[in-house]
Formats: sequence, C-alpha cells, structure tokens
Amino acid sequence: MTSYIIKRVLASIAVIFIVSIFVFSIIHLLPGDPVVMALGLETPMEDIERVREEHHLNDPLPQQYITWIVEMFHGDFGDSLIEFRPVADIIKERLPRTLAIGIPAFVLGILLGLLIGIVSAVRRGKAIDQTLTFFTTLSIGTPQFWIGMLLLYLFSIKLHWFPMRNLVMPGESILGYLRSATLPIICSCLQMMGSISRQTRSNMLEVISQDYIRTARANGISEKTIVYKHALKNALIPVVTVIGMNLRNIIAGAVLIENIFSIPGIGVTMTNAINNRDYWVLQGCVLIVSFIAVFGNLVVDILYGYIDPRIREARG
Amino acid sequence: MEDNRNILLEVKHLKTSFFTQAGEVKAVDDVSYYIKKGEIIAVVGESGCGKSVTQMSVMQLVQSPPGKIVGGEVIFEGQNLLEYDRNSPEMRAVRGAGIAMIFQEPMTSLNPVFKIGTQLSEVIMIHKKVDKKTAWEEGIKALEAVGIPDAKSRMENYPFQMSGGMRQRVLIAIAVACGSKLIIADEPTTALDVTTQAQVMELLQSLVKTYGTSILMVTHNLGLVTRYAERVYVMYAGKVIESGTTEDILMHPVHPYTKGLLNSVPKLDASDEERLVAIKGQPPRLSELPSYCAFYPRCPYACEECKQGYPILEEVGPNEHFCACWMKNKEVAHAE
Ligand SMILES: Nc1ncnc2c1ncn2[C@@H]1O[C@H](COP(=O)(O)OP(=O)(O)OP(=O)(O)O)[C@@H](O)[C@H]1O
Ligand SMILES: [Mg+2]
Repeated sequence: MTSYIIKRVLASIAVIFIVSIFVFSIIHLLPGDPVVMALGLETPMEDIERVREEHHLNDPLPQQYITWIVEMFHGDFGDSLIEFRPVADIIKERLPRTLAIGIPAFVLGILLGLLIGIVSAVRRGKAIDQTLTFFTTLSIGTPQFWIGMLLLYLFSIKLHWFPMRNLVMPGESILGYLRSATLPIICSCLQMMGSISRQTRSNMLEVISQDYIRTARANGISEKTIVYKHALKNALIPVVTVIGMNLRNIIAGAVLIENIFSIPGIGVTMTNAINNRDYWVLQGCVLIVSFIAVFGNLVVDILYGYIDPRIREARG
Repeated sequence: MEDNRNILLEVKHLKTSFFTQAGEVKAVDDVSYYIKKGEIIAVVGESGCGKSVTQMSVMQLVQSPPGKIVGGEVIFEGQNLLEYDRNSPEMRAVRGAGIAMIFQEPMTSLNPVFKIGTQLSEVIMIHKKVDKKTAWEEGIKALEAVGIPDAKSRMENYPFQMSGGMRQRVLIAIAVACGSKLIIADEPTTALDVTTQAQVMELLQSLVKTYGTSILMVTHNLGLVTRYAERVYVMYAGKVIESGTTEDILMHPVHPYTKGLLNSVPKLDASDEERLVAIKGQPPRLSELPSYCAFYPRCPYACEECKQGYPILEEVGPNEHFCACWMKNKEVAHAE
C-alpha cells in the first residue's frame, strides 16, 4: 500500500507540473499582446512597457516560467490589472466561498447517492425503488442552471424560505450559512447524487448475484453483513471512479452555480477575469482549481487502491 | 436405514419449484435421500436435473423469488430445518457450522476484496463466538489442517494471490474450522486440473477419517464416484430415479437412464472433460413434464405400459437398491 501511495503522489506531482506549464502558456498562447489587450489600445507606450517589465514579460520564456514558479512558492501570484491588488489576496478571499458550497455538495452527493443506491438495490422493484429511480433519473436529466432557476423561483421568490443572494460564511453565522447555502448546495449536488446512486444500485445488484455472496450466505453470515460489508465494498469499486469524475463536474459547476446564486467565489472571479482580460487573476484561479482537481483525484486513487487489493498489486 | 441414530441428514419428499413466466418449473420433485455420519455419497445426473437446487434447498438458499420450497422435510440431526425461517438465526447457525457447502468455482467463490484470513476468521467468529484474535489463530490452524503451507502468511493473502486448488482448500478450511458435520460439495473439482482434483478429493476423504465428517458430492465424474462414494443417487428431471450402493449402481444398474449414463462414459476413470452428455435426445423441460415417466421420450425400452403414470421408487435388490421404472422387473427386456 505504501509504495502504491508513493507512486500515486509522484504521478500527481508530474500532473501538476504539466498543468503549471499549460497555465503558464495561457498568456503566451492568447492572440495579441496580453498587456495591450488588458490595458486597452489607447494606453501610452511607456505605460505598457512598464507593465511588461513589472510582469517580466520581456524575459526569455524558460526564465519567465522559473520566475513565475519561484514567486508562486513565495505566495506571489502577481497583481490584478483591474483591482490593483495581489491575486493571492483575491484568491484567499474568494476560494473559501467556493469551498463552502463545493465541499458540502460533494460530500452530500456521495452520501445521498450511496444511500439511495443501496436502498434501491435492496428493495429492487418495490415502490420505493421505483420512486427513487424516478427522481434520480430526473436529477440527472435536468440541466443544472434550470434546477437553479427553479429553486430560486420556488423557495426564494415565491416562498421566501431562503435568501436569493449574499452567501454568509459559517464563520460569521452558522444559521445564516445554512439559510444562504442550502439552495446552491442542493443545486450543486443533485446530478452527482443521481449518477452515484444509479451506479451504486446497478453494481450492488450485479455483486449480489456473485458466487462469493452465495458462499457468504452458505457460511451463515447475516444478510445485513452481506449487503453492507461483503457486497458494498465490491460495489464501491466502480463508484469511486464515478466520484472522481464528479469532482471535476462540481468544480466546473461552481462557475454556473456562483453566477446563478450571485456568490463571489472563484467561479465568478474567473468569469469576470475572462471578461476583463485580467490575466494574472485568471492564471492564479485556474492554477488553484487545477490543484484542487489533481489533489481530489489523488485522494480518489488512494481510495481505489484501499478498496481493491488487485489495483494495488497491479499499479503498486 | 437400519440404524436411525446414525443418520445425519434425511431429506424427505422435498419439492422445490421456480415460478417463472413460463409457468412452474419443478426443479426438485419429491426427492428423498439420507446420509449417515462419516459417509460419502454422490448425486449424479445430467446438467439441469436439479442436483444443485436440491442442495441449495437443504440450506434454504434457493433464490426467492422465483424459487420456493413447496413441500417436504429436511431433517438434520433430528431437526426439520424447513421449520426455520430462511433468514432466522437458527438457520444461519446451521449454515457453515452444521452443514458447509463448497462450490464448483473456486476462482469466484471467495470475496476478492477481503483477505483470506478476514474471510476465514469472520465465519469462525460467528459460529464459535470467539474474539477476533482467537478466530485468526484458529484460522491459521484450519489452513494448516487442510494442507496449506505457510498458513500464517497465507492468511494475509487476497484470493487473487492464490491458485484454484488453494482457494478450494480455503473453503474446506472454513468447514473444518467450524466443525461442520456435513460438507456438501457441488462439483468441487470440476474447475481444477486432474492432479489438484485428486488432492482436493483426498483432503475431503481424510476429513471423513479424522473428524467423522459426512460428505455429499454432486458430480459429473463417475471416476470420482467409483473411487470415493459409498452410495449413489441418480437424478433425472428433478427426481431420484435410482439409488443404491456404488457397486450396485455402477455394476448392476437397473434404470435405462442409469445404463445410458454409464454407457456414455467409455472408462470409469474418465476425466472431467468427458461429461455425462451422450444419451440420445435432450433432457425434458422442467416446466412441461408429462404425467408419466419423464425419461419416456428418450428411453430405448419405452412402451405403452410406461404411460400409466409416474413410476415410483421400488426396491429392486438387496442393500437398498431402489429404482423408479415401470419396466424394471422385465430384466429380460433390458438385456442387450
Ligand atoms: N433462478 C432460477 N429460475 C428459474 N429456474 C431455475 C433457476 N435456477 C434453476 N432453475 C431450474 O432448475 C433446474 C435445475 O437446476 P440445477 O442447477 O439444480 O441443475 P444441476 O443438476 O445442478 O445442473 P448442473 O449439472 O449443470 O449444475 C434447471 O433446469 C433450471 O431450469
Ligand atoms: Mg449444479
């Protein structure tokens, strides 16, 4: 297991290195001079030259990359061209808001998905299975922005149960957080919940008909232990892959959710940075988000090896 | 059945059906047999004749729905197991500890994501009510008892790190550790190569000698029957159609189907590949059985008399040789 984990960590570091090169290239792949694009065509030449110099844009590319990396290790992501303050500060301020929605949504999506999947499988064909299947199908098939609009319309505008905007952080007021975060969390986790529950249900049904489950029954192990220990651990193997995929979806979904529910998080910041051509902000945000995705996948990979000894053997 | 106290398991008039869209499939239809303590018996018959479903019914493990035990008794150590609910603690206590079952596919019969030791000690903990540590140690002893070298480190292995023969031994070790009185082995060696086959059979036989275990083996391999079984039950279309000592069945078969089975194997020590298939025609569909002898359409000795109804098992010789055939007394007609 240890050698498996070490290999996974090394692979992740390699991925992060490649990602950093991609992110670094954003500026250089874009057409035109980024500084001119950002400051506008009317800006005097000497101003543009000064900004270029400030951002080391006149150095050779490899040196620029190294400078960029070194500065980042010192917590310096550059300055915003629009807000006139360090990108690191902006990220520090906005990232917690994204996480305040994303993490609960991710956890809730997994837990509810597993629960629904197991219940459906155990009660296969019964009314509860059919009801749950109907709703999970609905939650997978409905576009996220539409669900978001619907939630806002019903619960904020019509019923006034939840506020429409102004996310309160849990540090400020737990109650305020629960009120303001509920709708975006639900909106963010529904699709994930649906796909995980379906995957869990079908895996459970497949696993329950396997020979080793018959063996477990023939050895007098109780049905409960069989379902929640023997079958579930096997059924989880493919589910872990789905969880990994959904991590990416949640991150991508953050852009949409934050725009619908007016949450000033990383997603909205990225959208604004693109519109305002605030490259250094964009670069910093993309890098942070990529880090989170790579780290999430690392966790998923380790989980995978933990559940399935054959994977450990093959890749360890 | 001279000595009743010596009987470990007695199945009486067992009936199990599957209720499918095509109608009722009578997979086990009025099957009776018994097994004494320390005895090895064999159940033989073509594929689909209900051998496995019979054994799964004894354990109350038939998939339900669509399966259902519709009649009969399964008396194990004087207790009718069918009086227990299939999910009751009493029934679970019998499974694994009283009666253990070993299946055909050793490669898939163990859970791939748990260590051998975990799977072994879990069952020991349940049946012997001991703590984890004791169970683990007893697991090591059981692995040693079934001839697995390096038992201690083997406990840490996962099933995929073991060969088929090894895994079959692990399943036998579970039975040994829990002190099972009866091991039902459903084609235990079919998936193994010939050498391993012999080793596993020798191991099972040694359990009979060491612990007085009884063994019921379901098999297609008449070579194994000859070598290990004391008595044989021949099944056809959900019924026992002939039973007796191994010698009577193999040397003096009475039922035309049994004769056909024996003819279909050129040598008695034939390997597993030579399965019992060479009787002319197809086995009947269990959902559309006639009201008379089910072997009638394939029987070389069939005549009008055979259509008078189901033949019942009747004694045809000493040593409890039974046969269900209308023509059984017309030995002359059978002579080739
Ligand atoms: N789940 C099920 N649903 C419907 N019918 C079934 C089911 N399981 C078994 N059967 C029927 O029961 C009959 C007996 O099956 P069984 O598995 O006992 O045969 P077998 O004698 O063990 O054959 P084999 O030698 O191939 O193992 C089969 O012909 C099949 O039609
Ligand atoms: Mg079978």
